[in-house]
Amino acid sequence: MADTPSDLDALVAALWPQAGGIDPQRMAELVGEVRSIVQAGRDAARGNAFDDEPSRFAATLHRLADPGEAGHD
Amino acid sequence: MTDTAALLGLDLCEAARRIRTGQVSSETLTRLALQRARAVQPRVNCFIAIDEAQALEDARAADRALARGDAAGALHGVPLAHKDMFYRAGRITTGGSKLLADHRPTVTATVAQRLQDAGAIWLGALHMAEFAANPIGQNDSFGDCRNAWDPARISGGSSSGSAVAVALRACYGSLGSDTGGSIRLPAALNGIVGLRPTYGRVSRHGILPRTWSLDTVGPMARTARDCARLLGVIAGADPQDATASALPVPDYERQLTGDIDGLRIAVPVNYFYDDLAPEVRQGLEDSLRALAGLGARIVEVPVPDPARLYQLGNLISQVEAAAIHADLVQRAGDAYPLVLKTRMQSGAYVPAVDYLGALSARARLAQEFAGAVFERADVLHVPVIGMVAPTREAATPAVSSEVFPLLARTARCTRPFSTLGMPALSVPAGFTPQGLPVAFQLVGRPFSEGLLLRAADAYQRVTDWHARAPIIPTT
Repeated sequence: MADTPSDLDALVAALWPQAGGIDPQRMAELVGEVRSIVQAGRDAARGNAFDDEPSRFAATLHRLADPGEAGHD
Repeated sequence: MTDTAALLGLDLCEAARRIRTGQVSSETLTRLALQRARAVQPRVNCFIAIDEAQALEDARAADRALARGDAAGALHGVPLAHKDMFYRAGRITTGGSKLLADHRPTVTATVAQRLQDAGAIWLGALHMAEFAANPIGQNDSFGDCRNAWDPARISGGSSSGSAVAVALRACYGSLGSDTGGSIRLPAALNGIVGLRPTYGRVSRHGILPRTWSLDTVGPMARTARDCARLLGVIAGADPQDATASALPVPDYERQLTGDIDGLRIAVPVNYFYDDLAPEVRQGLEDSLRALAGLGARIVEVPVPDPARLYQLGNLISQVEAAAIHADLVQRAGDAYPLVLKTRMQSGAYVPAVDYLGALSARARLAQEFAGAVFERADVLHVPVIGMVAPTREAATPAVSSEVFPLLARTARCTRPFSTLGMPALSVPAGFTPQGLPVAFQLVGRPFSEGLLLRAADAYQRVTDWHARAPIIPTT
């Protein structure tokens, strides 16, 4: 199918025949591919590091809200 | 139509109105809902437990309270049932797993308390994918919950029983939870409305967690108005959940004006239409025509790479699930479901640096997405799922590893918005020639639930998909 996301599930599928006991070495190699996924997501995140602190996600959602729709007083 | 069918065919808001005005008692509706629940259970397995004695006692108490003139809440006397993951102190909550068959929480979920305070009746515990962990709805622990329109097909998950019970009129509404699509997918596959609210709009205190960063609690019901009623009851700040927003809760029902003239609806030019069954595409196009007929303006937009959002969301989900379930996996040993364990174990191998990298990317990705889409439109219109409900046989491949592509295909249109934390609403949009429901998804800016519900309500005023019911056994 078109651009179905390749992700952890796809990596696990590759390992399935041994799923009763995943080979940690093989898993570690494959999870290395995850880093490229994360890096792609972080390419835009090169500015203010504190704004990227995970708990500030909620603040971002509030900032992106439309005051007219969000129940602001 | 029999009286029973007519009363169970009422939507939630109308049922509440009739109870409040004394046209029908809570006990009558509760008895009918319990009767329906028992009748459909052998066919679709949508309940894990039916709490008949307690529900009837509570219904009679609701009727007595009304007779005394006690102030009625927004859900006074209305029979509801919920995914089996909302804690009520002292009562068993299984999370869809026999590993938790004796699990008696000592706290009550904030949302459960709010429903009770609003007067709702609790019929029982609804089926769910084990530990809310898959979008298909399979459950080896309690047996699969089956699709309301064709029991040979999957129900979707993980809020399987919620969607099926509402579709079959065994309750007037339900709460589900959504990590990567677990409200929206079963809602779509069973022909009801399901809302994943903005991350933080509804407290998660006292629910069985799947993940910390992605889980949301939301309403599932037959109409957008019913969802507005339920959301108005459960939303809002909670001292027991620091992630619950302090933003005031709007009067969602008052926002349902029926007017969407001039509303800008974005249709994506990339990703979402890449893998659609023709029947789903037809439903989407028809729904856009109906919305345009109501005065909405359709604009095409490119959306920032949803595949990346999917990947990050799944990574966060598996890491957090692995952490949340680590002790249970150890204790349960071989009794822990293998597919589930395998998926979660992948999360255990993700370096902390990468997990934090994924989390820290979310805020900027949300900004990027909002800039690209919501500067040009008010809401985004996309599929919920690109395929019609597969048969249970097709969802259980002979080679177990083949289940993973199916999982990815199922959630590819829902998980991206979970990563973004934005509200998303699944709305019934018709039926395939085989009589299976199709749906569209509306996505909005954070905290724009009222707008999404307004658009869906306007659509439901000119369509009748939500009023159609599956064939229901009479005994």
